[in-house]
Amino acid sequence: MLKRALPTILFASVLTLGASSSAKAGDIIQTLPDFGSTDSYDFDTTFPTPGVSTTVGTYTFTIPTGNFVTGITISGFFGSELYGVNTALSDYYLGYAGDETAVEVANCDSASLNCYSGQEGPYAWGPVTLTQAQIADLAPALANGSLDFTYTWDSTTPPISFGSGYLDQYVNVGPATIDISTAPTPEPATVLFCFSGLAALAAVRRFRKI
Amino acid sequence: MKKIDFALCVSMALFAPVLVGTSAAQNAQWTATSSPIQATIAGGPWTLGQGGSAKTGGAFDGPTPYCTPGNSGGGTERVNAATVNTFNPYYFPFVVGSGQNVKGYFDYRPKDINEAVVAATSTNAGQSWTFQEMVEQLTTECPNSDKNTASSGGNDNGEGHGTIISYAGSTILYTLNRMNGHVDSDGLIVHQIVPRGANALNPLPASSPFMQPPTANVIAGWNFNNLSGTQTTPAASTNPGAGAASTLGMTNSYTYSTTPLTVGSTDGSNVTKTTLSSDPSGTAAHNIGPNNNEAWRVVGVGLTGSQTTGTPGTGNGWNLAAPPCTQGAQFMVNTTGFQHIVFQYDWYTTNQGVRDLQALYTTDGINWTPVGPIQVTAGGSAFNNQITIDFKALGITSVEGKPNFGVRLVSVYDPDYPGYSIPTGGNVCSSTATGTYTAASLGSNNQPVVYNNNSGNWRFDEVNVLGTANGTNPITSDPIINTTGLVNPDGILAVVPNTYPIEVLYISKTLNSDYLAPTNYPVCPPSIPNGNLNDDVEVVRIATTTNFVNFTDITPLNTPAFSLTSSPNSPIPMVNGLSDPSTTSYSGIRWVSPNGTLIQLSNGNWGLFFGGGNCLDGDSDAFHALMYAESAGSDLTNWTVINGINNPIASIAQVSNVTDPQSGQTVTIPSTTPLVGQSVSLGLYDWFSGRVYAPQAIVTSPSTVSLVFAGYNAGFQLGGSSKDYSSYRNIGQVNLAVTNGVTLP
Repeated sequence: MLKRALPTILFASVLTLGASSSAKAGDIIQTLPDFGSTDSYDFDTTFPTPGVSTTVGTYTFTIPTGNFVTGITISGFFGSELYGVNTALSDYYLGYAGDETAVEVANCDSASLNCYSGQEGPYAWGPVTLTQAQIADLAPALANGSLDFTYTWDSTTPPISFGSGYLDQYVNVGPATIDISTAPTPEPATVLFCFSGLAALAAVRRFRKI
Repeated sequence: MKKIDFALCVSMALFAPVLVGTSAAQNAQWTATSSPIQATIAGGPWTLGQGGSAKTGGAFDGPTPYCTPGNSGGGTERVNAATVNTFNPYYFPFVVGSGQNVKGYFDYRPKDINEAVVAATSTNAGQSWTFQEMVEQLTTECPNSDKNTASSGGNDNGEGHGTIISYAGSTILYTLNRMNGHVDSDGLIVHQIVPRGANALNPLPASSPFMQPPTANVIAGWNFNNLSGTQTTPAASTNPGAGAASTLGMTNSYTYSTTPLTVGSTDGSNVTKTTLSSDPSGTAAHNIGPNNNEAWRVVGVGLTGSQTTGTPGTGNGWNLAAPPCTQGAQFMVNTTGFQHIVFQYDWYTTNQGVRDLQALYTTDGINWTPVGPIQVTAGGSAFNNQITIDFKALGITSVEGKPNFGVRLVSVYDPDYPGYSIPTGGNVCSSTATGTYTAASLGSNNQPVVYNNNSGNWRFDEVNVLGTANGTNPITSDPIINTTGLVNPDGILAVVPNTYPIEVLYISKTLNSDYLAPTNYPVCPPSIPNGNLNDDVEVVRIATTTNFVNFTDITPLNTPAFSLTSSPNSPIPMVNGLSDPSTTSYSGIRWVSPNGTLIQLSNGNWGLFFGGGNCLDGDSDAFHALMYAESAGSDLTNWTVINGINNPIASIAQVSNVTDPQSGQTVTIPSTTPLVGQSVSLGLYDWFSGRVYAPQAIVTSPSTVSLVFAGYNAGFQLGGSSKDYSSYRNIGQVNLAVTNGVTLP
């Protein structure tokens, strides 16, 4: 994964080289509103196609010039105040259009989970902290300032009877909040200074060993 | 260390966890951390406070009447855009969610005016609410007086006791069908809802299927509004060429009296004004109800002069000697070109009219077959509105496309009266059936009495035969689906969280049955406040479902605790320890009401908040106190009441120095101060001092709940002109905390 992400990291680093030294560290926090799917698992007519992604919402933001992303956390709710208090079996991702490696951040994928069968939700999930490799996967979206929060139906969902037919099942999720941490990208002079220091430190250690 | 000391230490070490465990399994002990308040609602339909203060104004002519413009101008129902009002007249809350942000479903029921399901949200755990949507309302009529009572009470018997099951992202709403002949015997009505923001009850329609069906789907219909005088074959008001009505058995030679001898009757059926049918287009102006409608009275007149012996002019047509299924009315309708046939009618009985009606149908005009259950009138001088026979739902498609289709509505013997029997196969019309006709009004002991053989009659209104050419449901886009397997359900008491099959505790209420074996229990004396009697048997039962419609009752057999030596009780399906349907003690819980709350506790027990009642009330609506019980471990069949009638969470006003029917001792009920409120004497009456029930416990922290509940003030319980209609069906809230280490999920 790291090997695959390395070019992206380098790409992101290049993007920020030479940026203004006035950039400051900070968090970008955005919340998507309650969501209830309008399509459902309609077992009466067709079995749902697993793996087809549906967008809950899109985070749009701007990474301050001269900054780079140091961390991403996301949290939310299964079930929604405005829709249903729980949700159909489903998996949730951060990604972007055309992305085949969207990052799974949450799932409600077992019939024994409260998020699916409970009466009193919504049920909180997260916060989930993305790894540096996952952040690297999202680099193009971060650069574009647009991250999609999506879900797919979980294909393990069995039909649930409703009278003589089947129960229509809906994905309902509450507010999902993302926190993107940023920090100023070190300037070339600073990098050079740091490397100088590190070289000096290495020399000192080498000298002491001798 | 001596061996014995060592052994003691080892023993203590081994048993210490057990001792700790025992301590941890103590029941939850609740305390109040706030005073109960009346909640508010922003927006929504008319509220009681808009009608004015006690005994002044009201829904008809109060400062802000129920309709706009209101008063004699009628108009349309008021909708408050964002006005904040005291949360009444709503009751039977059902709250989902935890913490501060919750969603509630409520039973909106302005007395004798309307009933509907309302959804609202709260961001402070139930202290104040914001209206979202109202659906399934019973009627759009405006009241004709503040009490809308007309001659015998308006109409607010719609869909009540709403409860919710959420599963797999879907929401299923269950309601009680309060219509006469359906309440506490039909299954609960099942609706699937798909909340969409403010349309929290999407896609349910604004009007209940109890309202009038679309006129376009009426093949032939009779509202009798344009008829008068004697009518033995009244013409249909809708598509008169498609239908023909006639009486049955009113011309006869039966004996009506022997002293003096009175024999014979001839058909004298006529159209007469009879209020409170479902007919919305009566003679009252401006959408004011209940309308003073015309109805068809089926009755005989005594023969005169030489035609009879004895007293002339007194035989009224209805007679004990008539074989079952031979007296009543007949409606013949050509259904050619129509599918999905539905027959609907309003049926009225006078106090002395025959109590039991059976519908028959024919496809050839010759052979008649009973269809549906025997209809038992809910009382005398009352309409039983919109009784519906959905032939397609019953699997009877042979009635479609038939020129000689017809329905008869005829009198049958009373199954509740001794001596009743019908042959194997259950045909109530059989010539070998035995029994007798009884009167609509019950006797002083609430038991049926034999029809007096010479007075009383039936009336009909809004008789419609409906169908569609394409086979869709002709009545509504929201057809009634009833649960099966729940026995006489009055509502769901609680849904067991995180179960599949879904498990529920429900209220099983069998009307007028505490004098019938095997539930022939000691009866309550007339209630203290108003002398009311009640004979309903009500127990809590358990059922499971995998498809939200068909339930399997899994209640074990238990024996009600209190019984007379002369009449020991038999085991019946009921959970144990929660209530005793046979107790007459004022300290006992004889009845339990729907819409409680189950909470799984850290001690491994289930905790249950519930409403219950006793013989002081004379009413099986179970509104005497908010109480709390626990059931050990995963067992939901055995309960221990922690906060009962005498140490309740909340209670109606205290009653002092009354003689307990069971013990004979002088008692004060409740004997201790309730946890919440001070419903004792000295004038300190709470807004729930008349009735209190339906506790919804919202978990707000690991040690606290917000309790949302319903109540009436004491004035409502008073009779006659003293009754106060300005404060009933209030929604309120109070905070409770657990004090002994038990934590909540």
